Amino acid sequence: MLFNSINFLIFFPIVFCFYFIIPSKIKSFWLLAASYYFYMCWDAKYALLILTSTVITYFSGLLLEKLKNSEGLVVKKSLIMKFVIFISLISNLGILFYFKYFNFMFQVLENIFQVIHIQIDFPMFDIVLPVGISFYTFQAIGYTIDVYRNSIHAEKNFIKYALFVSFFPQLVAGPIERSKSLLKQLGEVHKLNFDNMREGFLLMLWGYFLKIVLADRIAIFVDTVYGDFNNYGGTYLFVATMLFAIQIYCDFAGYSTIAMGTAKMLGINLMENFNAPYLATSVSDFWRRWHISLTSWFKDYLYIPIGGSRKGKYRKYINKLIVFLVSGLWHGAKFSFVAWGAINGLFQIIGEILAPIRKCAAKLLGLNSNSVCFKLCSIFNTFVLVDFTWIFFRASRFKDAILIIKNMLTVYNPWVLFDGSLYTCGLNQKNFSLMLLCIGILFFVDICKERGFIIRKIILRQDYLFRWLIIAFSVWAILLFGIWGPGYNEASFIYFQF
Amino acid sequence: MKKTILRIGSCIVAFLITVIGLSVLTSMMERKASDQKYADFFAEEGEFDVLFLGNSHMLNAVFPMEIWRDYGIVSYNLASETSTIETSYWILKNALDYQTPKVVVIDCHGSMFGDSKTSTAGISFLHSAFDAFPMSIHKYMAIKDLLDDPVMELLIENGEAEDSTERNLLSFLWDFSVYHTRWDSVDRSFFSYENSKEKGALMLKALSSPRNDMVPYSINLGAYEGNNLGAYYLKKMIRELQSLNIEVLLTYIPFPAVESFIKEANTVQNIADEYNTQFVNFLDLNVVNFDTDCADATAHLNASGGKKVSFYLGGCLMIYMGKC
Repeated sequence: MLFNSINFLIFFPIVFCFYFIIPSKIKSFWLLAASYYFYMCWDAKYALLILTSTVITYFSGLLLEKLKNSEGLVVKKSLIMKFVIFISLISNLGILFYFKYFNFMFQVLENIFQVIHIQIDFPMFDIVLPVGISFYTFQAIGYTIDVYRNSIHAEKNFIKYALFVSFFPQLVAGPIERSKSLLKQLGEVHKLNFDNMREGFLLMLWGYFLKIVLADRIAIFVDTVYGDFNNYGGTYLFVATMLFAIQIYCDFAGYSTIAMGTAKMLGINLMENFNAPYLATSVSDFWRRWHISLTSWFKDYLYIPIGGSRKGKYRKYINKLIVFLVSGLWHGAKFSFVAWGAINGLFQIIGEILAPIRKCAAKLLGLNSNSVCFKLCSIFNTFVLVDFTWIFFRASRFKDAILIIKNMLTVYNPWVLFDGSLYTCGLNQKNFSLMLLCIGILFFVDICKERGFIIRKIILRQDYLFRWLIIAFSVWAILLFGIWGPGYNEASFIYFQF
Repeated sequence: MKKTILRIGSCIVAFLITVIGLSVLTSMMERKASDQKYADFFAEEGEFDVLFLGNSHMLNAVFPMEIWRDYGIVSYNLASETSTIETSYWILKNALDYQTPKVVVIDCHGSMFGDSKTSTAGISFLHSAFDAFPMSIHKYMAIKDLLDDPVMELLIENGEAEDSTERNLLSFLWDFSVYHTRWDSVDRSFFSYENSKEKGALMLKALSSPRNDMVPYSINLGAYEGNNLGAYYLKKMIRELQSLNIEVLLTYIPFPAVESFIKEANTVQNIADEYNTQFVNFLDLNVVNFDTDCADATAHLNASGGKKVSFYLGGCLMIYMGKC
């Protein structure tokens, strides 16, 4: 079931109404049942995987807690705890590895053997990747590590813990929540709150706008051009790549925002996953604003444990590169994703190395780094760099990404920007103009956010007539201009494949 | 408590504003062909004594206004382009929710061919036939039944019929789900339309010669054996109308028929005999002149041919309704 399907529009009001009608004692059970039903709509058997992951991490949490409180030799205790967490991590990552990386491993081995002129044909298995496996596995792993680190106490209530792992708004595409925040909220009694309802509903509307009005409209253009990149060279590819950056932002942020809105209506606050990422002034800044829940997860559970910036400059660079390579792999078992991660890591390292030179140059040229113009240039520069990496993300294969870059640079056809040729790539002139207008709205909202004005909060402060008119108008606009209806492939949230 | 009631009240008002706005948008974005066709049908509820059903040949051949002028019979032409007999059955079921006719005239051209419930020519004609009908249990049943069509699915799979995103239950139950994409072509026609002045009929003004492989009509050419889907629905329609004490008149509109059509007409004759109902077989009558009365190569009648058929059929109806 997807947020943009008719099924969800029936499912959620039912879940919502019952949640506030039933006694508090069974609210968690109701949400858990709803979450499992939500997940089982794809494939019932994969619910067993979440259950397995839940059971493993639940019992390892309990065991770790017991060990922490037990008396005995500290060294022995520490060893047993390490063993427990090792088993927990290995089992969870093992499941993830089997479903996501098994075939990729064979492919890598095959390539390695080919280099040394040994021909081995490894078998390729027909393994279907369960939806959202990377998200809930990381969330469950994060909990176990938190218990191990004594950041939280282990959760004793299995229903509550199972709900933490499978909470439907963020189950399949995040945000990857922290146990400290979500587990605590799931334990609280939530009563119907009109303010939460209104804010949640506004968040959902914004999410739907991002997804079905913007992302799915842009997707038509991008899919047309990238689907036939040999014929659409030069400017077409430049435009499509720029638009893909917006598409993936709207697609993923759209999902996260709907998730936040859905949870908010139920009285639960999920973390913000995006913070105006394309207003970032450097690649490092971009990664502080993009997919925040994953970036911070990697920081807390990978970057810092492997040394972070504590072991010198060069080690820090290597650590960063490791994190981004893993991040690339997390997104998918393909060389193009690994390359995407590596380039992002390299950009940050190079950025840090060049920072003193840039500062010096700015000083020599008398440029004020706080001026609007300087910031705009930095934003543009960052966008270009990040957008370049998206080519590897969007291309089906690494080889395709290289070909796309080649076609971008070798075909000279800037006139297509002016002669109406762009309107032949799936979007007519009116649709193209609407897309540009909506991108303008997106950036306006992001700039307001950057300056501390949250449009949602401003709307909520107005009187009820204005508020409701805005909501009604938004519903009409989304339904009128959205890409939906019969024939629309709703199974197209980009981040679902991860 | 007062605050909660106020809040619930404001939620209901907001919901109503949204729904009203959506219904305005829905009617604005709709294709107007269906509204145009049925406007008078709904405006004059319970007024029509005779309803005509069939496909485009009936649509272009029988003019209710001519029949009214010549005989004073009040009728409405519900025939629709590419309509199969199954579609006609469901149009009738929906129409009977708004009218109680004395006679229903069913044209059976093409009724015995093929086993698919809808035409291969495209689903948009089905929208023209049903969009104007308000949501009702009969409309839901009609769409559910007409889209449940394994033969059509097979034809689409083999590339013999056009597939469309509109071939979908939601697109009929809430046509805004398909028509909202028309926002980029909004013009004057989205805001106003002219009613059909011919009570559902469509007068063609062209002149063309039809194909010339016509075979003279003969009862001896035989009829189709067995009971195909078209025959099943035709019989079902006759039975249901008879149970409501509504007279049924079957027709076969003038057509330069080849052997298969003649056999089809003979099959209809057998069904008419079986249910003791009248059948006006124009294939056996020299009512029109195909050299002057056809509008296109597929022998849809033009205004001249239609007037002749309307006059003849009006006379039959006078006798049938016991008015002379």
